[in-house]
Amino acid sequence: MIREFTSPDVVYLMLAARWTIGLALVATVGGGLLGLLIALARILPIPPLNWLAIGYINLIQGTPLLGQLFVFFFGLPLLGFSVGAWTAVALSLSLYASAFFGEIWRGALQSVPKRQWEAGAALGMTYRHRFTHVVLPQAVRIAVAPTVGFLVQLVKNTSLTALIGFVELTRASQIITAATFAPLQVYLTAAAIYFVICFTLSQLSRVLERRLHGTG
Amino acid sequence: MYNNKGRRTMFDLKTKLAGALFAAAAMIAGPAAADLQEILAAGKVRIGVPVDVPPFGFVGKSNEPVGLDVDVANMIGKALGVEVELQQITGANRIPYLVTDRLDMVISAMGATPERAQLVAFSSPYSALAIGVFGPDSIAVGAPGDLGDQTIAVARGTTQDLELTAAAPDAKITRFDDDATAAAAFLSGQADLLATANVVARDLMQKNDGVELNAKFILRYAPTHVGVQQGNPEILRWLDTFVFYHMLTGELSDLTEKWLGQPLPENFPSL
Repeated sequence: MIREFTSPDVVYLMLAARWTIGLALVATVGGGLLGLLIALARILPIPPLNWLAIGYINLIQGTPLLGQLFVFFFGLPLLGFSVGAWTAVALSLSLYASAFFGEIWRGALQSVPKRQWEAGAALGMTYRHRFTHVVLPQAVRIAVAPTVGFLVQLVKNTSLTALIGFVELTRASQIITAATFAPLQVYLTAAAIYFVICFTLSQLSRVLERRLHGTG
Repeated sequence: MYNNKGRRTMFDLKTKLAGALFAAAAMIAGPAAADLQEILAAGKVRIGVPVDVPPFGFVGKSNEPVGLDVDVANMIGKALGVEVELQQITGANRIPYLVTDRLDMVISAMGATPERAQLVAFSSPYSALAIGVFGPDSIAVGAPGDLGDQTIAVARGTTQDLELTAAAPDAKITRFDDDATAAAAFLSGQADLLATANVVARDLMQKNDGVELNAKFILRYAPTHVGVQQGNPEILRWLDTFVFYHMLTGELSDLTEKWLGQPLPENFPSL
């Protein structure tokens, strides 16, 4: 019954890592778009919008991702909505990422000194122009490192989707471990794959930062 | 590597979430379950099986699900004359999957308990395993009461975990994610004893030279049942008939012998 941990298992783990990357991508795109709106809602000078955004961020950041996944996958069907695993995952990962992206980008935007806004105003630029041409380029540069830092977290957090049936890297490791009873080899392999993904991300971030500084 | 406290919290959280959901399920009329005629008409039955509970459900050489539970699932499909749609499930999500009508049946080495039966319905048992505490001869333990300083590794939330915790509440029990990690803890010397199924202990002994995993005491003989959604007497009755019939033909006993090494006893209980 118990079999050896062999090279086809390593391939299986690598294939499972496609899910890890795919899920992180979905969360990045969905969360990024939504996060942009959240960041805007946080800084536009419209108080009710600010409160709404703050409430949303507190709600999402204050509840565990696991709970959000559960609510979307198992909770909505109880209310009569039929939700597929992909929909549930895309929704909950995007909402989760959007709250964090929103806060990261809000911080980056607000860390651009107020003088820059004032200087733009002194030149007769409109709010929109000051935002897109003066503040945003500087904020993007500031935001790169924390954004990638969160992405690395996100990659690792995709392992929670195993609970609603996704066989991504962590879940695949559990499955192989159960068949081989060789957790050390299996999890070391999985750790190496995670490292490759996350290290690539942080290297990309470094390149991006350097490039943005160069042209800045 | 295993922060027990943190892991417990995670587990408690999952349990609480699941509990909250079931409470919600009780208040709101759940989705209508597919009844037997619908399954026959659709030509498809959705069955959840584990892939991390050898020898009941695990992955074979080309990583396809195999095991006793997978065989039973295919037998059910054949008997119904419909296609089997296998869904991999875990110990934590198998009951939510049933309650939210994502599956028609769960075959997952599941023991029937009064608590679980409040949420799902159980068929007559199709197989059984003996769970107990295993270890080297040098440790003189013959009953739960003899446990002292020894650390016992166990897979969390399993029947052996529940039984051992009830039988020896003061024992030093270390809980792991699954049988394989619990076994690794024992093999690496992090734990003195291992609480698991007899068949797993036997396989571990065969695979690892010089490892002694002899039965210290057997906690329970644990029959395993098919779980189905509540409010569906036709499916339940059909399953009981299926189990009854294949007990008489001896096929279920043969399956148990194939995967667990021993046939079912003569006077095997039914539900």
